[in-house]
Amino acid sequence: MKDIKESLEQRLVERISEAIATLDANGFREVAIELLRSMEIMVTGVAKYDESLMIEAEKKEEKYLIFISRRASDASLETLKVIREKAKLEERIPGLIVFGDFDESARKFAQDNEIAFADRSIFVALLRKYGIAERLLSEIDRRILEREGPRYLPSKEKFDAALQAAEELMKRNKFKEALSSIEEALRIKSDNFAAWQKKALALASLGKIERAIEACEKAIEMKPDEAYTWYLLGVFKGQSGDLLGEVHAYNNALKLHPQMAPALLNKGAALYQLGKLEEALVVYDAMLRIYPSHAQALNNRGLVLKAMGRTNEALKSFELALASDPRNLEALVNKASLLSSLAMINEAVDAWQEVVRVEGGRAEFWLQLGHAQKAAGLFEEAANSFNMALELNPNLEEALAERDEALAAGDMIAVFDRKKKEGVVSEFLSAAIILSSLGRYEESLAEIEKCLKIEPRVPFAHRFRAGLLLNLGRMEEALASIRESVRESPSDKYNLLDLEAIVYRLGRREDSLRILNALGRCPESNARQLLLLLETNRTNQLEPSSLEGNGGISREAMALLCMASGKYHDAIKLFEDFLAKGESTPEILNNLGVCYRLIGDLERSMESIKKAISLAPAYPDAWNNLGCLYYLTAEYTQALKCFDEALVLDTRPSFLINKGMCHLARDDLEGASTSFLSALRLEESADALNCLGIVAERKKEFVRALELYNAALEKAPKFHDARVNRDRVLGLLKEGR
Amino acid sequence: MSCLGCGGKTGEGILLCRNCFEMIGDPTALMPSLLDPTADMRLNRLNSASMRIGPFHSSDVIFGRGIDASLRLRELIHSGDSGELSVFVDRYLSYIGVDLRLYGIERLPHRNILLEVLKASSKLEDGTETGARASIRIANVEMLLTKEVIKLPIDPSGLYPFVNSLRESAEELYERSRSYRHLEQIAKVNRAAIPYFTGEIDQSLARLEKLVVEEESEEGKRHIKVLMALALLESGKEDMAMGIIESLSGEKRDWKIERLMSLAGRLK
Repeated sequence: MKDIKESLEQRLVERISEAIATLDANGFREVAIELLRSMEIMVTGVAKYDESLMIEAEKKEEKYLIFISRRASDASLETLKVIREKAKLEERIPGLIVFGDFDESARKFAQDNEIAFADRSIFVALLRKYGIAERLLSEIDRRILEREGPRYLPSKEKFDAALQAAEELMKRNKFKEALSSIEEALRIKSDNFAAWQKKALALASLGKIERAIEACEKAIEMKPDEAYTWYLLGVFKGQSGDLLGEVHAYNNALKLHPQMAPALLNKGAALYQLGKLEEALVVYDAMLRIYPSHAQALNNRGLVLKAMGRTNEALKSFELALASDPRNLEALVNKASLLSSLAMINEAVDAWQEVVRVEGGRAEFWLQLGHAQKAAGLFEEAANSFNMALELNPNLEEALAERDEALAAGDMIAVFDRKKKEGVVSEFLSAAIILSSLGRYEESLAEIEKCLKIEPRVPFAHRFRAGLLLNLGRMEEALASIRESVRESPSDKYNLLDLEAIVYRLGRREDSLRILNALGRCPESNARQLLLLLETNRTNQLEPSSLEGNGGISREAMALLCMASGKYHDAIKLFEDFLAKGESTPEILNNLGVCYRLIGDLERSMESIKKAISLAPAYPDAWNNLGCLYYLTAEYTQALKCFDEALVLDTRPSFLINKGMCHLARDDLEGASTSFLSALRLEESADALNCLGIVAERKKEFVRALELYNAALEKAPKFHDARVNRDRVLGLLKEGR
Repeated sequence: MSCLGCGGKTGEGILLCRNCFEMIGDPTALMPSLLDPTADMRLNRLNSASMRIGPFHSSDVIFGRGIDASLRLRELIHSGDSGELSVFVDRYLSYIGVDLRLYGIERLPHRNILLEVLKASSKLEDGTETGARASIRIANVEMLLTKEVIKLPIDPSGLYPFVNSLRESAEELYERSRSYRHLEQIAKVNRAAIPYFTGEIDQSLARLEKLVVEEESEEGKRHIKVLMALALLESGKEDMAMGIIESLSGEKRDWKIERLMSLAGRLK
């Protein structure tokens, strides 16, 4: 039977689990970030999925990629593999926090691969440690009590919740439901200003303007010194057609808040609609003294001036608006319309072109561009623009008639092939390429979307989009985009190579191999195939004949594969071919040296590795390998110097273990122990534990040695040396030594 | 029109003004790229063997990350070792997919180091085969960049000097192969393709037609024919291009010919 403490503990864990499960996606995100911050881990980027988050974070010098999920099924070997690959690709330390339980194989994999992980119990413990669990539970309690009604809580809580719910619903454009929540809030507190203001907004959004005005006036009654409510009243009055009432409301808003930009803008617009142009101009001039480069004010001022017949000033005002915001569509359209009406034909063509560049998805703009081009005698271009308008709106009869007229005027054959449209598409593509080179990926993506809206079957656009999405960390969308590109252009090898690259980044090695097999022969795909075989340890699938006609990269990959499969002589031949062609690199010399060592030719091995060091004196692997060679020839002092050199360049556990072995060979047990312990601190590996066991055994500390060997075997049950060592020590202990 | 960089007014059809173009830190970003990780990046993660002194529970050799290419390049430039620098550049460019023979259909991965590699051209070893190979590859990248950048709506006052400097540099780099006949032949063909990359297709075709008659090797002939077919396709002379493509289709198929046939297939 469980004792009461244990039961309570279990219940608490269950309640925390429930609290986590009931959080919405944003709530879960906040909890995850709060937890990491509490652990002094700085979050630098978050990608949100259904039930999980991919977080880029930093702590001191270390960079992490942490996957946090509340889906129990994510506590799996598969997820661990994916996060390991993703982190490897980004050169980050992987971490996994999952609200589920890992099985033994997953735990072992995580430990062997240095993946920091937390399962349900650790997750809960962390939430409790940093006080997050307590806050979550109190929120749950509050909600439960709220459901129970007023006998437990004062109405304030219920009122707040109703208003909060209304706000959430309004954010999701569910105004009818929001209105019900507001009514509920008002039943609790009928004199609440904020509730009346919200009610006005909800009613207006439902098109019930008269009732919105009533609600607004009620709110003003309660709080007459609130400028925003006066402003809202002005907006609603305007919508109801009461322009004078609108101006009056804005005047009151501006008395309370003279610099309120939306009120100034709308007041000017209302005066304009009332035909009070001089007054409107005064408003905009006043506004521009406060906000000199306010694009919308400049645009509106331009409209007023245009209506007053002061066209040159109007044009200047639109241009000033565009100087402040070059992509302001209203100003672009107003400028283009004015130029058309002034018969400034060439300028109008330019201006309408700018309009469609910013907003290429609207038929009416293409129609206007066509008119301007036709007026300028650019019949072919005009026909193209009218055609674009028709593509976007096939019912636009005016465009059809105008197009035929333009074709007739231009004495052209009425054949509209895709090349015409490609002109527009290529402009969007060019803009995307330029923006991307400026590092403005989001804007570049917007241009590509415009291009695909007009012509959804441009493989290059899909491929470019995939690259942008990758830059923005939107991996799955990138995959979908590259698939589109492959669908449109299946024989393009580059498409398939890009598809494989994304699949590889997602850790799907089998899919990668399948794509590469389907790709046929090209140097890049051959090299990728060989490297995948090496990565996935499939050295038995080696086919040296496949190297024929391949570049250096495949030959180097093949040499590594030969090494990994124990075909050292083949590897030596390949590496020596590089040297014969004058293509010696530090890595090739180092690897050749290792091969020589593995066939027992220590002299050549040393010569090659020394050459590698002379080419790249800061090459840690080469120093380590040279140390191993000195060790083999019992020149321990030299070996230690080499290991120290390697460790200065890169502190790796394997270098420390090699150094420790060197100390051991010199009977320096303290030195060995220090090195092995340092290795263990960096990586809790079976090798380091076994080595420490050897040191303990040599010190006659048999119990300690047994513990260490057992620990090593726990990490790597098939570790033969550790098993032999353990059995030996067990025997010694049984003998009573 | 207005400039995408600064919003300033530009000429008809121009999306990037001279100033903003000149301020692009890495113009190679204007080339369409192959998505990472490509083979060179994957190789670098595995191409350094490190030995271990036993006993250990797994392999006695670990394959780990090789030397960082940017660091190595800087080290070589700093040391002034032009021989090793040439080996590095030749190998690096070859591994990211820059062949000695230039076609213009190659796509390279985007690498920040690429611009530094291009800038290293003046420090390469002169008079050696490796130096000549590295020079040809750099020139090829310059021409690939030219081919792409010239298509973009960039203010001509900024674009043309840039393109001219790339062209002049490529011409000079191809010239470095003169002491090595087999490289010189390749460089000649690549040079003949320069006008094709800068939009003067007819001029390029005339040079290539002359070279195909002189060329002795089958590989060299194939290179020239592929270039001619590509240039013809681009200039809309599809029938003539098809004639060349058909003459190539019986030959040993490699990825370039397959790509050419796929391009032609789309146009047909």
